[in-house]
Amino acid sequence: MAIDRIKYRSWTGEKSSHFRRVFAIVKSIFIQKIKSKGILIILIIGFFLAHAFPIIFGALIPHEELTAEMMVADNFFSYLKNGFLVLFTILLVSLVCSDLISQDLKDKSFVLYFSRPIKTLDYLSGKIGGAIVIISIFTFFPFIIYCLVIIGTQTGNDYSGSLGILGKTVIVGILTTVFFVLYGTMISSFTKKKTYAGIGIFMSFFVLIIIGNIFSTFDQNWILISPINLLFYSYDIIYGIEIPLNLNLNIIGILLSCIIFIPFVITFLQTYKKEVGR
Amino acid sequence: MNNIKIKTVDLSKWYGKIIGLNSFNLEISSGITGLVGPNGSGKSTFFKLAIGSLKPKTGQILVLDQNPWMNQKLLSNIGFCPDYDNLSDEATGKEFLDLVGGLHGLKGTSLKTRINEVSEIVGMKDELYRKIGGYSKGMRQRIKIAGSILHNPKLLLLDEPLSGADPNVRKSLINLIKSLNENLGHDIIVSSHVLYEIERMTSKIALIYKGRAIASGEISDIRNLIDEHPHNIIIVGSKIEELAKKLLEKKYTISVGFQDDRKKIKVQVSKPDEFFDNITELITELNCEIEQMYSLDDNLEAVFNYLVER
Repeated sequence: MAIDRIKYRSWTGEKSSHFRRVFAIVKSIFIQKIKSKGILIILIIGFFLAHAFPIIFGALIPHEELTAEMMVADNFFSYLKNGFLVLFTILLVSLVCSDLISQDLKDKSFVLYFSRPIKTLDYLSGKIGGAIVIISIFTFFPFIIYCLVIIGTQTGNDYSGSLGILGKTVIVGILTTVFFVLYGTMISSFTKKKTYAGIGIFMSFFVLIIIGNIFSTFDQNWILISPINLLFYSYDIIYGIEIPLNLNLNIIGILLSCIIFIPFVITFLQTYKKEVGR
Repeated sequence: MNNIKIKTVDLSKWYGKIIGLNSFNLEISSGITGLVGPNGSGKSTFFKLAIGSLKPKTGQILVLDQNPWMNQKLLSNIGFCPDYDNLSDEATGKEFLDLVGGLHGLKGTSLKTRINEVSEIVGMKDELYRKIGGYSKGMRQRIKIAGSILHNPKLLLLDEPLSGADPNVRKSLINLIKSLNENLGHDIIVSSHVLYEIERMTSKIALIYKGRAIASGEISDIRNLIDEHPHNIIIVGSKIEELAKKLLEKKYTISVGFQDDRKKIKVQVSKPDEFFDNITELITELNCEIEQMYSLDDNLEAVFNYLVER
């Protein structure tokens, strides 16, 4: 036996640090995800295709300042609306979020958390926080790097305007990261199979785009049912770019609020209902 | 200080039409207590109620004098090792313990020191940096137990810790559990559906069957209950048929059954004292050659079988 009475001494450390307990989950998720080869590959390839090229071209092409059009215009030089960024973000979210809740449902590992002094909200905050840290490597920090590079290579003197765009980009980065993680986590809480969750996350974006396009023939606002479209129009609003007149701003606001809060509420209820207390 | 660690009063829990616990009354004091019952008897439900993962439908459960439902603070004083394997294969033992320690608010060098202590206690110090996916069944159980004692809880709940382990692993886990109580002072409630395993860990048991606590106390107390039930006695030898006939004429004999080519009989008696007073006389009278005679009631398994009327 490995028991040694003399060496043993009782633990007298802090047992009630709330933030520490949430941080432990964030750290665990981060370590687990960053060690995943699939996620690393998507991060690296995605970074080159979606971020590195726009950053390099943006720096090389002469520009007076950082403008909203450079971020979200519907042209080749638009950074945030380019297809690679959307595709690799969806791929990354599918990989990162697919097993966030589903694996715990499958392994019954909720008990690992809830037999310890944490609450459902702590558990979800930790899980979502860990995923946000990973996703932000792709959907937050590169945005800031892009802005800084463009500002650093600008030929004009209007730095205040450029910094204004940088500030808006911070908001856009946070919105994008939080939106994708909450959406992915919600779908992960619907099933015990991470494969289903992963495919569900990936496909749902495209299915909703198709549904939105079909019904938009009756009412243009249907296009907002697609989370990607909704996100793009949100970018436009944040950067102060005009959106099509036939789109209802109120609907965009309501849907955006829903997209932020409903997945969290659904995930909370799903987790609470299924495993936390019956 | 109150010696009662867990107390339940008419505790009931059911899931739809399935009853988990039914008017469950039990008091568990300090030391090691074995919770014994067949699969599906309600042991895991009892543990889930004790850690507040389930809410009682009726009745009350007090753990360390507190109601566990939605009581996260209480969980700082409880270590729970579930019966199923919920470990991530991709994580190392160290990462698992880091997470568990963090969930209890432990951090920094103190956590590192504590992980080293605990991994040594469970005999896993050299395996900490290996992936859990490569662990044997015994190692996985040990690392789970390490996770449950990391925060030095007052009360340790081990749900079927020996389940699926081979005999050598079982032996070492039994020694570990005994040591956790004897050397480190943890009060432990350990469940199993295998009676002899519990018997090797403790003399204090609670028997649970179909959601009810049917008996609890020292094994000697439980054994007194035997007097209210028939006893089974095995007799092995030659000329055993004559002995069987004579025994059937006695009032204290309920039944006699032959086993193993009529060289062994199983006698069921209502009054064992009278049986043992008479048997020597009968054997001498019939000139039987008895090779073995033993009461199945000396085994805890028999007590359990009697009480659950199997």
